[in-house]
Amino acid sequence: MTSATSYVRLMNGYYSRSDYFTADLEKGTIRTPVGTRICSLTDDFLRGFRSAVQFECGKATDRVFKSCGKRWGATFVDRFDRELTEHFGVPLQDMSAGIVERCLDEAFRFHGWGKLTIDLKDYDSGFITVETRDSPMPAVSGSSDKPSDPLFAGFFAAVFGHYAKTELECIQTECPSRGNEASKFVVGLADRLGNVPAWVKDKIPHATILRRLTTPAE
Amino acid sequence: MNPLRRRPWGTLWAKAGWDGTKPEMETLRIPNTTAAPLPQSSIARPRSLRMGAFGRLLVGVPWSGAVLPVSVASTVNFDLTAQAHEDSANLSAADTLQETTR
Repeated sequence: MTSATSYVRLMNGYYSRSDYFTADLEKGTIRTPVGTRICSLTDDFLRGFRSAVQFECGKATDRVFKSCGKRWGATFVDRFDRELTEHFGVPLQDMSAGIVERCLDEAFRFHGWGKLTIDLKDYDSGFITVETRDSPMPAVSGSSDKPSDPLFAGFFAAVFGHYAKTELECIQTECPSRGNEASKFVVGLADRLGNVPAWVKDKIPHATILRRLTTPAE
Repeated sequence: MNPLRRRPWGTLWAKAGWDGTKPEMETLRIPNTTAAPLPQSSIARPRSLRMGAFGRLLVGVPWSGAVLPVSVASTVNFDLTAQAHEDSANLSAADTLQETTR
């Protein structure tokens, strides 16, 4: 671990390299250094896309978005592992958590997905809080009664489930579309998060939800 | 910084108490480097001294072009000293970890 972190400390951030996005004007494409094609979408497009999915899927919209997020997260984590391992020359699993978290946050900011923070306060109890600010989906969804970012809930479930080597669930507990400052998600095993959707529906704050989850039932 | 963030990324996620059972004690006992005493023997002074000698050697060169290398050597010297202190802090943390988990 010591040798891996010493080596990594001398490297620049992967996403801050000047050639991270390479535009080919003739083909009209943008690619990352490993050849992944980047698609740039406007807020108007996202707004229209969201409305179209709502129109087509109705009540199943959130489930559809979450499922899409899980598939997206699975492909993202594969790419993230490959790119960073190649860049730093150290397997991602062996790099210190602080550095990988910073890289993940950079990936979010460079792709326009917002600012990511991982809170490990309830790590011992088996729950992780993920916070995103300036995320695209709540920004285009307007005010709503329920959290509006099931896409990223699915995304986080897939990404962190991959590293935990077990299937994890992620539920959004707070959302700017409901008047909160930031989006907050709780990550944990699905059967331990069973009551959370009902608490979210009742607009119980994230901190209270976590307290209920981590306090043993009397 | 939360000591958990010093863990390897893979271990952090694999060892979380997902099912509600607390993670094993030895994996949690990562010492706080600010509380751990810094062993004097681990401070890598010889490396910085060698660079210092290199700098002084360049000062003795009689032509004017030596001015730039001196400043470069000084900068390198400073960086390496800072690096050495950081490395020694990490070493002491690793040593203390071994002791506490033993």
